[in-house]
Amino acid sequence: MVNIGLPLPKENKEKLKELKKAIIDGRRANHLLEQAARHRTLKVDIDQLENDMKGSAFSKHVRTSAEHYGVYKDLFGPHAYFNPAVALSIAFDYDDDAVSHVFNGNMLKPAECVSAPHIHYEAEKDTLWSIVLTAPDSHLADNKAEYLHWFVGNIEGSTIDTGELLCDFLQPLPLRGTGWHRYVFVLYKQERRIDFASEKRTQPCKSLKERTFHTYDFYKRYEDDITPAGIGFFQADWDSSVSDIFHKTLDMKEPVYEFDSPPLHIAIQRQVPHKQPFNLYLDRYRDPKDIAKEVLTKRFSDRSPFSGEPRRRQFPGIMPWSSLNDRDPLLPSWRKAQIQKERDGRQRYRHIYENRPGP
Amino acid sequence: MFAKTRGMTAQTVTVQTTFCLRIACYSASVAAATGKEATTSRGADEESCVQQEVPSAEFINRNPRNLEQLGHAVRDKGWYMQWPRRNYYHRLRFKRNSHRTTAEVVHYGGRVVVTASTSEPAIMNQLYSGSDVAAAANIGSIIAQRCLQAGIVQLDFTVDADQFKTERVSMSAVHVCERSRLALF
Repeated sequence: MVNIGLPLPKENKEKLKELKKAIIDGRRANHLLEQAARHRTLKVDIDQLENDMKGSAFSKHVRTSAEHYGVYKDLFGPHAYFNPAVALSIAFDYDDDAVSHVFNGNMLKPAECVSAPHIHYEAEKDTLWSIVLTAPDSHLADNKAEYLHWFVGNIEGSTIDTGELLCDFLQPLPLRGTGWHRYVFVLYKQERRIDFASEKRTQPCKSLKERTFHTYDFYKRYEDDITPAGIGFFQADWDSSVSDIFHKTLDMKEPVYEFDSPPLHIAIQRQVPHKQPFNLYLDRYRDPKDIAKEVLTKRFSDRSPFSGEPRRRQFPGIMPWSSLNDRDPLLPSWRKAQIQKERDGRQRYRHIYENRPGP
Repeated sequence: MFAKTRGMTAQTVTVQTTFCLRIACYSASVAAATGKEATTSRGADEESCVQQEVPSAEFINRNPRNLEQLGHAVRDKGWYMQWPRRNYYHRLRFKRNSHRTTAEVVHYGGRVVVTASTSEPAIMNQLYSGSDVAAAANIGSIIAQRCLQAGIVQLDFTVDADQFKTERVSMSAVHVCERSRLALF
């Protein structure tokens, strides 16, 4: 494994020990702190905690997350990693008051990430940086490729506005039915001003083909001049704003996917199965979609759109049987069991009373 | 007590991760012009997708946590006769000794994903003791915050019934639930 990042400041273990000892001595003397602890009113200020956590503690924490989400592997290949030496603070505007932060894998909705975020990191005045936002999971055609959602190069210090916009910001586009996609911000420190002309996309870039990106190839091209210094990533899954972007901005059809479940381990169907309830046996070999369709039809059958959500009865078992069919009051047991399941809303019939969760 | 499990390397579970394609029903230009849904037809697809990317029939999401988050990932369902069971994706573990309290979120493959301990100087600074009830409660809320930041929203929490009776563990667990909307099983 090769460390492609900036070196972390070396931790002085002696100093750390002294620091801890000083903290312990300090807090023993602090009677207010003791009182709060004993009365169980002591609450740690988590924001202050995040400010205090600098250096290797923070870096290790983010790196563990990044490895857990396979970020290094999918962006830089299986043999590279880096310690995020520079703390990257990323926030999308949610509304006038609130912001949606990006940490190390938190879940956001694409509607929260409509425009370019506010980025902050500590940098000296004469240094040059680049920021890249890639999506390693969303590529429509090539599984190993990424989409470039934002690229600003040659940023002076930490002022993003001074940088060269090489690819304009596009909101996350996690495809419908495919689950959670990762969106990774990588902050690179530059040795000198770089000519990113070959990376420049048309402004505004509305073609996904043009946004195809390979972080590995990009890094290889400029590896003498750039070093990954910071990382921040979030996860997003589909919402309706993604459809709007596909239809209005990109002017293309939106692909919708569904999960391809592994085949069930059930025996080959026989014409005369021994000791099997025939209705359950036959249902095992039906397409689950047909069964789901029947249940959905039942859900819609005796309700109008104005009557609201169907509700389970409080006591489904007390409903009489004879009222079902006056001509044939004696129902076979399998049919009774099925009707009872419908009334209870059990097993497959739960979707009569519950709204089926979307993809 | 229980046999200490040695740290395992992350097991790569090869699971079907493919998604089949079903092209969506509407296309922007047609819907805008005629105000009705376009029917899917091969010809229409090719026309509109000439400039744009053509989606592949099979889609694989490389995010290793995606299947777990959707509930489709295979869990370790053996070991049901053992306790604590191992059919989880992420487990919350509390460790306590007379000096410090530690909370860890462990993935079934063995990796410790998120951790919070009163031995960290930043946390130590704000607490009176590393091992009292206040410490446990605060560690609970700190681990909850860190889990949400790391995108972990569901945790398995299996603890010895006797251990749970002590105020420290129950306080910290309660704080974890209250503070975040983490689902604790």
